[in-house]
Amino acid sequence: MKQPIIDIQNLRKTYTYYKKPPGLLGSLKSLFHREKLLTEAVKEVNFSIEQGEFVGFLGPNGAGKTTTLKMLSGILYPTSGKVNVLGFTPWDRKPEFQKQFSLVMGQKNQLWWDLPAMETFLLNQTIYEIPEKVFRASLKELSELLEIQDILTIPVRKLSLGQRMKCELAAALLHQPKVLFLDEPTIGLDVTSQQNIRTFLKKYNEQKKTTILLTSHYMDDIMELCKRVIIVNLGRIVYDGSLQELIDKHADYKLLKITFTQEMKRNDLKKYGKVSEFAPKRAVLHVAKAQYKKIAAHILEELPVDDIFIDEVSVEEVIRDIFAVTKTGTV
Amino acid sequence: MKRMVVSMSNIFYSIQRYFVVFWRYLRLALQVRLAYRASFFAEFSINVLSAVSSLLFIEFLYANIPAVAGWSHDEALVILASYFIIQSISWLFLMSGMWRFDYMLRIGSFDRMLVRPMHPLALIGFSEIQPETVVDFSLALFLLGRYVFLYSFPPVWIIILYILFLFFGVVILLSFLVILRTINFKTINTWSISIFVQDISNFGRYPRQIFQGKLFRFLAATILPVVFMGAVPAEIFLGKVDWWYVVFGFLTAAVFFLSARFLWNRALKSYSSASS
Ligand SMILES: Nc1ncnc2c1ncn2[C@@H]1O[C@H](COP(=O)(O)OP(=O)(O)OP(=O)(O)O)[C@@H](O)[C@H]1O
Ligand SMILES: [Mg+2]
Repeated sequence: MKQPIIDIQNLRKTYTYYKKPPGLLGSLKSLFHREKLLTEAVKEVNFSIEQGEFVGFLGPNGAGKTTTLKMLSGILYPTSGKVNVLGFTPWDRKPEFQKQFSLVMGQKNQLWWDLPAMETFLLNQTIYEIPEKVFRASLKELSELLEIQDILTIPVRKLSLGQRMKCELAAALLHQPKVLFLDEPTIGLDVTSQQNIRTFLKKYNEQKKTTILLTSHYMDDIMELCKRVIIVNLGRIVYDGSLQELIDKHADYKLLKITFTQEMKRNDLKKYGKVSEFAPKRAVLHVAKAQYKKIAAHILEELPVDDIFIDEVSVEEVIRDIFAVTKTGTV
Repeated sequence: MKRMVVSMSNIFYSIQRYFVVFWRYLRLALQVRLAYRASFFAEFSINVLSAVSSLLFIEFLYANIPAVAGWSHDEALVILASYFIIQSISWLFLMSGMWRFDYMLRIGSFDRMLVRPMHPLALIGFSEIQPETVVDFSLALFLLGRYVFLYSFPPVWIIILYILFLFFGVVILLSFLVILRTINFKTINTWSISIFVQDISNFGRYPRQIFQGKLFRFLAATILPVVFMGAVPAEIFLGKVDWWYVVFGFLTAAVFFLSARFLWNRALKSYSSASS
């Protein structure tokens, strides 16, 4: 039987930290008496990923995504559970393992601020023991794909955020990792830069068959890149499966976005479907997929419609729905 | 036998590899320094000044008296030289990188050092190399050369033992630092640990005999083992060592090294990173 490239069983992580009362006096008090607090960041996570998959790892703030990625990279020891990545237990931190994966965090950088990115690349070449030939080939390929040939010799502090992120990615991929963990790689970038990074990741995954686990709060990232998504909330997995199925299952309705020629009452609209947004001259209705044409026709006939627009449910909304459900306890 | 040969060649390979990486980092550090030339010269001058002031201290001290605690002026300079060598090597490889270890923990830049295929302590040390330590080191070599020129060249076995004890001095000092630094995993904000280590290790530049009374003499050789950070290596160089201290030096270096390794590994298990 083929072993999956990433396999996680019953992973849990509880952070221990100490409550610090505010103010100087509080700090002094806490020298002698500290109240211990526990956060169960990851409560029960199980999943496995096959080689070459590009998986989206989603969840609201504080769901435990970064914590999970840190355990998968061996930065943190788990409270309990088993993880196998590429045949290794990450927190043993074996160099043979570390040479085969890479972790990129959007908010943290490894490039040397005062020096051109090329210097960091050369440093990584020595740290990762990349043979000269492989290094040259890798560098050529990455700088073409990312279009960074011209900025490699400019001090990093003079680069734009988008350019810097591209160089970060190149630095992380020079040793040709088999597994790549991306924690919000597009955070803070403008739309074009985000698109560039996405295009690159897509091509890279297709060409290299690198296994990629990506977290992002930008749904465009996920829609364009990931066939499969894993959704966590409050430290537990609430969905693991194909993105399309998720949409089909939860998005069994369409959106009717209507503008009226005169002011309406909310109650007048209720009989057509669930009113999700309402302003006197504008409304958004949720209507079942099976009947949206019929209902739209009725509305056109019976109400003073200026314009009507039929839209698909966005993934954001689907996922928001799922979180709303899990918060109340029933999955 | 064969396996031993293999593992020996592995060790040599690792040492060589760490030196190659160190060399790369050193070049980067120099490039950064040269990018800010004014601060480079300032830093360099401050190092020269502080080395010279240590030297002047001894000159003033011996201006009117022939010997302090049984040490002549020229012998006292050998202690200073040994102290400088141990300090500059320690600074070069780990101490300057460790200077703001608490800060690394707090902003989470330590995470990066845990995912790369090298020992995290090496990466900490290399991340902040101060090439200026070469000043202290050169001054130390000059002082040793002066002594040899004025008196005589010690026998080879003494030189070997001396180098070994300089190495032990570095091991003890760095282990001491690492042991105290593991406290930071629990109390992220304690930033004064490096200063404390520096203050303690300052005693390394004085003769062993300044520690009066059984308690202090005991402390200086065990829990705060400053005598091995200057005085004992110097005594070896001068051929006037108490052999008990040689035995003790071996033991102290081993105990400190093993404790540091144990505590460091244990602390990593409780490391909880910074939220990001
Ligand atoms: N170093 C830490 N010490 C204590 N608690 C932490 C630490 N890191 C994270 N937490 C807590 O653990 C929980 C999960 O955090 P985590 O960073 O894994 O969430 P996340 O899913 O990555 O969120 P986001 O989308 O905001 O990045 C949060 O409640 C957070 O406050
Ligand atoms: Mg996160």
